[in-house]
Amino acid sequence: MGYLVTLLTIISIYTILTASMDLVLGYAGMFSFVHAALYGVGAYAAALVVLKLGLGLGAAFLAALAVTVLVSLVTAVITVRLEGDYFILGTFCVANVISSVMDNWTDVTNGANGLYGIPPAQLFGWTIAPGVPFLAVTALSAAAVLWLKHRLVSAPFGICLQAVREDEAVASVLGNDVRRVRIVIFAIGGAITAVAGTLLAFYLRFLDPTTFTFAFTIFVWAALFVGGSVSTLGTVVGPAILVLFPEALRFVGLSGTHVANVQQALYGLLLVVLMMYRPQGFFGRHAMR
Amino acid sequence: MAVGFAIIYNTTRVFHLAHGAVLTCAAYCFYVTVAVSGLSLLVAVPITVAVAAALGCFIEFCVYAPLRRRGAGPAALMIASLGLLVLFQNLFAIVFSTDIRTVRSGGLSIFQFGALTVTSLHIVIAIVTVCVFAVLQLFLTATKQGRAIRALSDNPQLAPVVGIEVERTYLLVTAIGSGLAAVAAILLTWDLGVQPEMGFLIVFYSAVAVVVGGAGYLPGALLGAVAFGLVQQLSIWQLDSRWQNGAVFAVVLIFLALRPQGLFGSRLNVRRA
Repeated sequence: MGYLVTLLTIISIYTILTASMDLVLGYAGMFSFVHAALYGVGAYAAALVVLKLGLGLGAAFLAALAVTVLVSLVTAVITVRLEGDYFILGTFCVANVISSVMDNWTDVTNGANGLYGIPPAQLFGWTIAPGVPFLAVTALSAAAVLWLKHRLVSAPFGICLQAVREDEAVASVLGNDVRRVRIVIFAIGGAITAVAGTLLAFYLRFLDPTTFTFAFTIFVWAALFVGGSVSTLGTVVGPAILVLFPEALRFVGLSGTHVANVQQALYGLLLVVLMMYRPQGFFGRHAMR
Repeated sequence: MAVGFAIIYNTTRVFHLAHGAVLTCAAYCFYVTVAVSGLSLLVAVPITVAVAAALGCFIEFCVYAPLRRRGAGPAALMIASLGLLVLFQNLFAIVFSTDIRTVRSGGLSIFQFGALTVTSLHIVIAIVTVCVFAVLQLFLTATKQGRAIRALSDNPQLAPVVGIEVERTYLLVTAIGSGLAAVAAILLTWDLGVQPEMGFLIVFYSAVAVVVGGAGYLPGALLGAVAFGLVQQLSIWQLDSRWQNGAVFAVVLIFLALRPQGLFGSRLNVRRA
């Protein structure tokens, strides 16, 4: 039971991240390489507020939100002029800079040792116990994020996003400020990673800077592509598949030091095969081109 | 390495992340032929280059070409490429473990040029790079296939009209680019040893070099790589070495924001990229 709760909590957190990636990459067509780093910024901000100021979940979340939105706005303003592959490289550079700060700004982030000793989440004076209660909070947050995302993309702004993705020139002729649309959606994506980051900080109660490197951005991409972009179902199914699939391998009896490598190799293979035979993912409505 | 990435990128417009896989494969191949089988360098180097070229062609033929036929665009190709990189990296980790394997034992002879200290190996690297680059430039400007490659890279729609076989030229480009990756892999293995993750960072370094130098202009990739290396070293001189990575990427980021066409590229290439 505890095992199941763990898996569901992780899937919920990853669903929030995948939803953020779907908005930025799926709807707006921006290949962000910085998502894992933003998620890390959120997690660190939340953890620091709790550790240094002794505040609860609400304050931690607000702090994480403020910091990630600020960082993603700065990132977007710098990189938004770049197109396609250049945007990937630009965000890759930002991710590197953020990782470097996490690793080296020892006074604040405790460097490579990470942050530990984060107390259980407190909300309005109540302590949310680990296990089922925390899962409930996480799942509710994920549901809220998915609902907000659905509202956002059903609004004219969602159509505007897809127009920008499909044809920038046409979109701007129709009166959309392409740059502004991109910056806004990137900031919204950043804000959503803050939700996931805060939850992660309280879930693990320990943060390790190596969690937030490229490998994790690639994981989120994979989750999105497997589930399928531009869909709500896809953003839940993708992370679920990527989390449960390796667990299934564990039951098959594959063990030893190679498990992580076998998992990752299979993710890689899965991506190649998907791109060849089903570029829209399992539930996606937009094929990658 | 950067030049190898550049030639493939300019021509096929694939953000060829799997190039890192080719590099790692070549490095391990070199390791196996030299350190495990004990073959001489004269045998090992050609084998390594051939294996890398074959792997590059295999990827082009079995993954990219079918994808293009299905009408996939750059995004799908890049994701597939990423998948390949992750796949190969982990296969190597399974087979060879994640430890660094070295080929060379003992130190290198060291030369002093005034204030500059270099090892014999670094001189060899510089000479090989310049030679390989000169030969490549000659090939691209003086031979029929070389001109076909440049034509295809300039205008993929028009190239087939004048009788250039697109798929075959792509294959040729991949073979050359992968061969170059093999040369880079050999030098790197000789210098630092080989580990499964090496491809990932290096492919990004080369992508950065290409962009800094200016896409679409091959000598730019070489100069971009030199500039990148210089910034990397200078940052150590001024800052604590642990900030090196962050500082370098911050510089690249500022550079991208201010001059996205690179040092020598034209505006045109940015719009098209």
